[in-house]
This record gives sequence, C-alpha cells and structure tokens, in this order.
Amino acid sequence: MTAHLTGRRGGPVLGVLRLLPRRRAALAVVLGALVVLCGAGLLAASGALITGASRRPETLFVLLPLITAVRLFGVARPALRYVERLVTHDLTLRLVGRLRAGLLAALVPLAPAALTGSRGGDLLARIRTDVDELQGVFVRLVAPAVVAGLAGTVAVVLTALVSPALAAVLALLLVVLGVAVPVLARRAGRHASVAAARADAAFGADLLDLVRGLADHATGDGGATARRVLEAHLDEQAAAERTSARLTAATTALREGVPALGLLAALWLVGWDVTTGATDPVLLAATALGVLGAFEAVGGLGAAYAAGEGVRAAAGRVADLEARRPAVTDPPAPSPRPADPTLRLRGVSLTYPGAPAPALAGLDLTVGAGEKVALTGPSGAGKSSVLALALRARDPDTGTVTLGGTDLRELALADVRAVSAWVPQAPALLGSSVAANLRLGRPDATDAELAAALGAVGLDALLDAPGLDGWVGEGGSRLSAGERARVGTARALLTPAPLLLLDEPTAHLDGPLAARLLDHLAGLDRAVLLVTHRPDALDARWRTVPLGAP
Amino acid sequence: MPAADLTAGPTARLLRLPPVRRLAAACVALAVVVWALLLVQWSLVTAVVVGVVEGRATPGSAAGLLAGALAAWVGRAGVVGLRDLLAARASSRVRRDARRDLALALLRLGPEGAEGERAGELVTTATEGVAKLDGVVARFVPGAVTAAVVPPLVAAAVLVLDPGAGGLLVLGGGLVLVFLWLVGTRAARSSREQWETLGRLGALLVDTVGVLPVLVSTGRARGSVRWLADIGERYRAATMRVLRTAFLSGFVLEFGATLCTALVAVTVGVRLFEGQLPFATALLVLLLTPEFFAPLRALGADHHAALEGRPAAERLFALLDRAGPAAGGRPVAPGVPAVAWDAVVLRRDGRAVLDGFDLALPPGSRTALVGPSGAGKTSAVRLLLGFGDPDAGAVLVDGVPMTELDRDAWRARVAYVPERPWLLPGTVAENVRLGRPDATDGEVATALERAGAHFVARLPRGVDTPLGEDAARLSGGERLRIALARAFVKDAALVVLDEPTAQLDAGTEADVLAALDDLARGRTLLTVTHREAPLALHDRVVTVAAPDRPRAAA
Repeated sequence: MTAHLTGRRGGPVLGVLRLLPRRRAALAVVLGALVVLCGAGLLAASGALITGASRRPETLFVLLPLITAVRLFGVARPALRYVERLVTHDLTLRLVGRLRAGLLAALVPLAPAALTGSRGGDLLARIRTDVDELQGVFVRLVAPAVVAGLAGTVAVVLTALVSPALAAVLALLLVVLGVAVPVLARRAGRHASVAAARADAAFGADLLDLVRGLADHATGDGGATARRVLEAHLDEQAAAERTSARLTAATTALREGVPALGLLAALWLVGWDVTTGATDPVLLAATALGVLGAFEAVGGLGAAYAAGEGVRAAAGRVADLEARRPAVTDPPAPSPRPADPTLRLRGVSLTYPGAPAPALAGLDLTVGAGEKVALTGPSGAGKSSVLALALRARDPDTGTVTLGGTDLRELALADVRAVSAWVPQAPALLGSSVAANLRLGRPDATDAELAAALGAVGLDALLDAPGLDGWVGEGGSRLSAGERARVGTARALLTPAPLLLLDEPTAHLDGPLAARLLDHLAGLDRAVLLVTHRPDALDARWRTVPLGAP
Repeated sequence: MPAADLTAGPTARLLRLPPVRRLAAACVALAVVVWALLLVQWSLVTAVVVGVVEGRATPGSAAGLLAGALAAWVGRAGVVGLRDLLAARASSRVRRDARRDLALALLRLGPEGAEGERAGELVTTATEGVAKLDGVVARFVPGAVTAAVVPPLVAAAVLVLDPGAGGLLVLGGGLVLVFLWLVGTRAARSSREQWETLGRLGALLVDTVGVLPVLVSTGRARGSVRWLADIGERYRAATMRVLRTAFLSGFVLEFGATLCTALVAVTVGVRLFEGQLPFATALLVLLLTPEFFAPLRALGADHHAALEGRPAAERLFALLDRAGPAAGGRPVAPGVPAVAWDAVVLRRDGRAVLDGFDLALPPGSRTALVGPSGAGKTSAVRLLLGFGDPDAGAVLVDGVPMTELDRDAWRARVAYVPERPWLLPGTVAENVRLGRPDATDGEVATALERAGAHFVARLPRGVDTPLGEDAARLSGGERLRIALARAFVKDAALVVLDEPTAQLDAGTEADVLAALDDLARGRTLLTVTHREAPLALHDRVVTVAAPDRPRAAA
C-alpha cells in the first residue's frame, strides 16, 4: 500500500482529495442535493396548496397534484437523508484508513534514523489530530461545497421560471451567505484555528510527558513544572477558542438572518407581479417558501470554510513529514545480496547533525561470518553508532561499510537488513501478545520455536504468565525493562539473519542470567556484534574491541 | 425525549457543572424571546401574503408590515448568535477545567494508580475525549433547551389558532419522541463499544510508531502498514454497524417532521377548501409547523454529538474519581528520617509481590537492596515514595504510617533516581530544576558539576540545550548524571536509587559511584542494584527473596 498523501501536483489538500473513493463521493453529493431540494419542494408545494385551497376551486381534484407532491417530498426527504449520511460516513472511514496507512508508509523510510529527532509525543499528536482533521475533508468541506453548488443552481433556475429578478436576488444572497460570509470568517479565524491546533498538539505532548515521567515529576517537584507548562498551553488553547467563538456566533447570526432578505424579496417582487396580474397568486407563498428552503443549500458552507483552514494546515504538516528526506535511501540499481555476511568498517567517521563532536572517527572493524565480537568502551564512545552503521540506519560521513565486500550503499536496504537482526538498548514492543511481538522476527514461527527463543533468553516464565497469547500492556508496559529487552533479543534470535547486532543485551540482568544469555549467543553459528559495558562477563569465545572516545 | 438517556450518570454530572447550569438558564430565556419573535415575524408575513393574494393590498402598501417582519427576523438571528457565543464560551471553560483536573488527578494517583491505564488511552481521554465534551456543552445543551422550550410554546400557539392542527402537532411530536427514545437507547449502547475500539486503535497507533525502527530493521514495516489497514477496516465495519442504528433516530425525527408538515398542509388545505378555516389562520399554521420541528431536528444532530460525548464523560469522571492513596495531613518531621517497612504485604493481580517485608533504615544509614528480578525491590521502593499503599502492614516514616502523612511534603524530602530516569523535552537546566524549581543558575551548575555531568559543557548551548523527546541523543550514563544533578539540587534527606549503574561501563560506573558517595553524605541512602560495584558504598546489603512466585529467577 503506497498511498501517497500528497499529490505531486496541486497542493497537499488535493493530494488528500485523491484518496477519496470517487463513485461513493458522487453518490453522496447527489443525494445531499436531492435532500435540500426535497425540503424546499415540500415548503413550496405546501404554500401553493394552501393558497390554492383558499381560492376555492370547484373540485378538490385540482389540488390533487399538489397534495401528492407534498406527500412525496415529505417521505423522500428523510429516506434520502438517511442513505446520504450512511454513504458519507462509510466514505469517510475508508478515507481515514487510507490516510493512516499513507502516513505510516511515509514514516517507514524515515525510521529508524530520523524518528529519534522529532518529539515522539508530537509525532503521536500529529498522526492522531491531523488524521482526524483530514478525515473531515469530505463531510465538512467537499460535500457542503458541491451540494451548495448543485442544489443552489437548481433552486435558482426553478425560481427564474417564476421571476427572473427574484432568481437574481436569490443567487446573490446564496453567494453572500455561501461564499462572502465564510471567506471573511475564514480570514478572521485563520490564526485562531492554527493556534488552537498547535496548542492542542502541545497539550497532548505535555500529557504524554507527564504520564511517562510520572514518577520523576511526582518525586521531583511534585508536578509543579509539568502543571505550569500544561496550564500555559491550556491558556493558549482557551484564547484561540474565544476568538473562534465570536466568529461562530457572528456566522450563526448571518446564517439565520440573511434568508429573511430572500423571503422579503420574494414577497416584494412576486407580490407586485401578482398585483399586476402577471403571476398566478398561487405562486406567491409557494415561491417565498421555496426560496426560504433553498437557503439550506448553503447552510453547511460556513463550517466548511473554517474546516478548510484546519484541513489545509493538517495536510501541510503531513506533507512536510512525507517530504522529509530519509537518512538513507535505496540505490537506483542495487547490487546482488552478497553470500558472505562479513561486515567490515574501514576508516569510518560519523558526526550526528547538530552534535559538537564526532561519534566515530576513523574506525576500522571486521566481523567475519560466525565471529563473536563485543564492543566495549565508555559511554559516548560511539558503540551504538557502529550498530547503526552496520544496519545502515545512517551512512558514515567518511570511510566505507561493506558486507561481503560490497558497500552497503550499493545494496538494497531490504537486503542489508535481511542480513542483520538489530536489537536496540530499549526495544519497543507492541501493545499486543507476547507471540505477536516475537513473530515480528519471524511471522511463520511455530509456538514451539517461540518457546525455544524465550528459553534461550531466560524468559521461560513468560510462558506461564502472561502466556504466549497474553497481553504485554501498551508498549510492553506489563513487562519489566529487563523482560522487554530480552523479548527484543528473542525476536532477533527468531530471524534467520546471519548477523546479530545487540545493544546492551545484558544491561538489566543479574550475573547468572547474563552469563546464560552470553553463553547461548556464543554458541550460535551466526556472527554476533554486541555492545556491552561489562567485558568481564565475556569468555574466550568473544573478541573484545575497545572503543575510546574519538 | 431524546435527552432521556442522558439525564442519568456522567452526562448528568457534566450538566450540573456551574458553567453549564448558567448556560442552560440563559438558553431558556433566549428561547422564549426566539418564540415571541417567531410569532411576530410569521404573523406579519401572513398578513402580507393574504393581503396580496386576496387583492386587498400591494407590496407597497404593506411595506410597514414587511419592515416589521424583517426587524423581528434580524432580532431573532441576533439572539441565536448570542446563544452560540455563550455556549462556545461555557464549553471552552468546561474542557479547559477537565484537562487541568485530569492532569492533577494523574499526579495525585501517582505511577501506581495510573499504571493500569494505558498511556495512549489516557492521552486519548484527555485530548480527543475531552474535545467530545464540546458536543455536549456547546451543542447539546443549547439545542436541548431550545427543543424543550420552543416546540411546546409553538404548539400552544397553533392550538389556540386551530385546535385540529395543534392536536396533530402534539400527537406527531409525541410519537417522534417515543421512537427517538427507543432507537436512542440502542445507539447509546453501541456508541460505548465504538469508543473502546477507538481507544484500543489509538494505543496501537502509538505503539506502531514506537516499534517502527525495529519493524524497518526486520523488513516488516510494509506488513505493519497492511496490519494497520486491517485494523482500520475492522474499525470501519464496526462503526458502520453503529451508525446504521444511530442514524435511525435522525431518520425518525426527519420522517416525523416532514410527514407532520405534509399532513398539516394537506388537512389544513382540505379544510380551507371546505371553508372551515380562514386563509390567514391556515397559512400561519402552515408557517409555524416547521418551527415546531426545527429545534427537534437540530437536536437530532446534536444528540448524536452528545452520545459521543457520553462515554468520554464517563471515562473522564472515572479517572477523576479514582481514589488515590489515602491523603493524610500529618507534617513530616525535619531532619534525616528513620524509615521502615513493617510486615508489608503487597498484592498485584492476585499474587503477592511483597509478602511480609520487614526492613528498617536508620537515619544516615546506607542500604543496598539486592535480589533476583521480580523479587519486589522496585515495588518496595515505590511504597516508600508514597506511590500506593500496602495491602497489609505499614510503611513508617519516623514511626508515622505513610497513610497519615502529607505525601507531597514527604516526597519533597526524597530524591529518587529511577532505573531509567525520564527527562523532560526542555533544557538541561529545566531538567535539573525539576528537583527544585527555584534553584539559581549557580546551584544548577554546582549540581551538574557534583553529578559529574561534564558533557553538558560540550553541548551546543550548555545548560540551555534543549534535550528533545526523552533526550534521545543522550547516552544512558549522560541521562543518569542529569537525574543525579536533579537529586543534588534537591538537597533531600532520603536518597533512593533504582539500578543507578545498570547501563554504565566500568569506568563511568566508578565516576558515578564517587558522585553518589558525595550525594549520600549526611542523608539516608537506599539503593536497588544487581551489580557488585555499588555495594561498596553501602553499610549493609539486604537480600530480598522472591515470594512464592512460580517464576524462574527472572
């Protein structure tokens, strides 16, 4: 699924519109226009019926077509409305699915490297609020606009049959209420809507910070700092909402008030025609009420323009995310995947963007097939960076990283990552079952294989509680940090990769458990490159490579 | 009444909030004004139409009536605008208060109380959930008040004008309400389920982004996109099932309204034809009939919004009401305290985490807690910090049970460095000041110096360097030093460390231990550790054995 959220041509909003299911969208707007016209038709037919009856025709049969029309419009309107709402919502939910998938697809090339720089909470808020904003693109923006155009045009044409002058007035008022008022409101509300969205996202990030660091906040200053930051964002939000509220009130007043002008124009213009005998008196109340009903066509447009601003801002942010350049990309013509998994770093230097000093400078390192290598050294010596280079999460500034003699930059990313299995220091888990987390390593692993992998990392206990199908909590929160790290290692063991890249796999383990895990790793026939602070726990099967601060 | 299922429970509680009550009262007054203006407006319009149709007047001679109708109409539009303004303000106020209270409740509950909550779901409640209260306050309240006031008054007016048509309105309106109540209760049930699905979907999305680096590295990222799409598809199908029922109430309302309008038009028309009714009365009745249903129809849409807000209100109040640990008021004695666990039993999910745990820490003592993972060391520490209470036994501070203490005052005396300290997205200095917000620049610098955080000097903007989300660029050792600086600047009487050196190499560990030795001077120190090196710092080493847990030493 490679749904692109942003079109190559014509703004980010158009890109979102391209994701709409077209036939359903067309059906929804036609139904919407018919609903409006049925409402106006009901009012007009009723007005004609009453006036016709007041003129006492010789027989009731003269009124029969009007009676039938009144009943038809009365029944058709609610039925059409019901179907229209279902079609519209179904379409919106389909759109949401495509949006979410597209956004995640946009994030994939950015992971793992670029995701660490952006605030995770901000990313979360962005995905959630922006998708929520964008999902309204049809219901709140497209549908009201197209329905207004369709139903408004039909109403104006029908009015012109009675009084061309009144049709002109109606068209003018529809444009005022449907275009001028919302455009002015939109101009006035632009800042408020952007500010509200920003404050909303900031509040979400604040709260995530508070939830995740609750112990630190509570024991730090009792939460005073967190509260101050949070309240400041809430104040910003409230201020933005006050502006929006005034604007909403003004548009409501206009939406309620402007139709009065249409009704009065009808009474005046058609009234004179009736007085002069140019028009049948039956048409006076009918036209006046029909014109009144026609204003429903533009009733939803006020909200549409306000929504449009939010949609555009959200689409823009999503497009920014998609346009962000990934740290690494596939080569145009990848070399074939080398059979030999020997990893070799030659004269490699790496400086992170914005960092004052290089993380690695002129490093040489070789890990042969099946070899067991441990990287040691003080914090900040660049041990984790070596793993990032081996995985091609990043490219070195100078020097080369090769796999079986081929530069990683000449290989397909998928091939590089199929050769190695990487376990970060604090591997993330899915809020799902133990088994689902392990099967991220190998989707077709049997339960017995999963159990064996858990045994290898000393997590047999997880088989009893919570069990393979037991829920691990959000992000694995029901497991301890040590258990999460070992689930990550077990996941890597399940992959068929001939090279394991492990970042501090024993950090949370006590002596015997750490020894058991290291022993298991040393006994594998695959190559292992691990980062550790405790070289004392390694036996002769390991080659230790000390890294000094560059 | 569509409000019938909303008058009990969390929504009712929301409606009783002072800003909402004030709003409702204002809406009643405005609704009466709206009704009066409606009568004036349509009476004048009727007079003009009847006059012109019957040839007794021209639009020119009726200009005064037209101007009157216009004035009444414009006045009514202004009143409705004012109502919206008041409603939006009240809603903004309610949501702001709810968000603040939620954050305060989190702090009151502490990590133990909030642990059962999945972080994503909690954030969903505070952001999306609270946002849905807008539907209740800004839309449902004014809509419901208008629907309760205007239609009965309109019906009364029509009854006076023409009892027949009035009776039809009352009957039709009553039937619509009965049907609405029937379908409304069903929709409320399904809406709750929908909310739960939404919450779970939210939690999964957070995790999917979190786990993305690993997914990418194992080449499973494309699969996860598909997986997410599957969940989205299930979500769509479930929601559509809910909506088919939920929209029925809208259908019934709309159907009742248009059918009643059609019936009134036809019956009035026939009676007019038969000469039983004057034209003016018939026309005014016809014009007033849609006004009887308009507030009810508007409420149909608002009612849907209110239904969405109800589970949100439920979750919100459930969180706000959740009892935190008992709040005592006894002040904490000054000086370095003696703390003790006295036969502490702590159960979680039915199994004992601590079973008769006894330990006393004399003032100024240095104690290391060791033992297998899962033996309850961290749980014991959390009880000492006042996060949660034991199921039996007591945690004592200078002989006073924790349940009687002012917990905030107690935590102000404790410096705690968890296994993986959480760093704020703010600057280094802001992170240090979490220990003591009024610390001077000099004190912050000294604390960083004593914690051995020399790397800060090399950061691009020193102590003013923003760390970003959970300080992703810092190493474990660097994070720890900032957390230690926090403890230094706090000048606490009790220092509690959870695995302080788990992620450090030997050289760094020695430096950190020297800093810890300095930190512990003149205070009571408690350290949870797996490692050998920190033990030397301590007077004694206490081994915690796992209670009867069916786990391997994990």
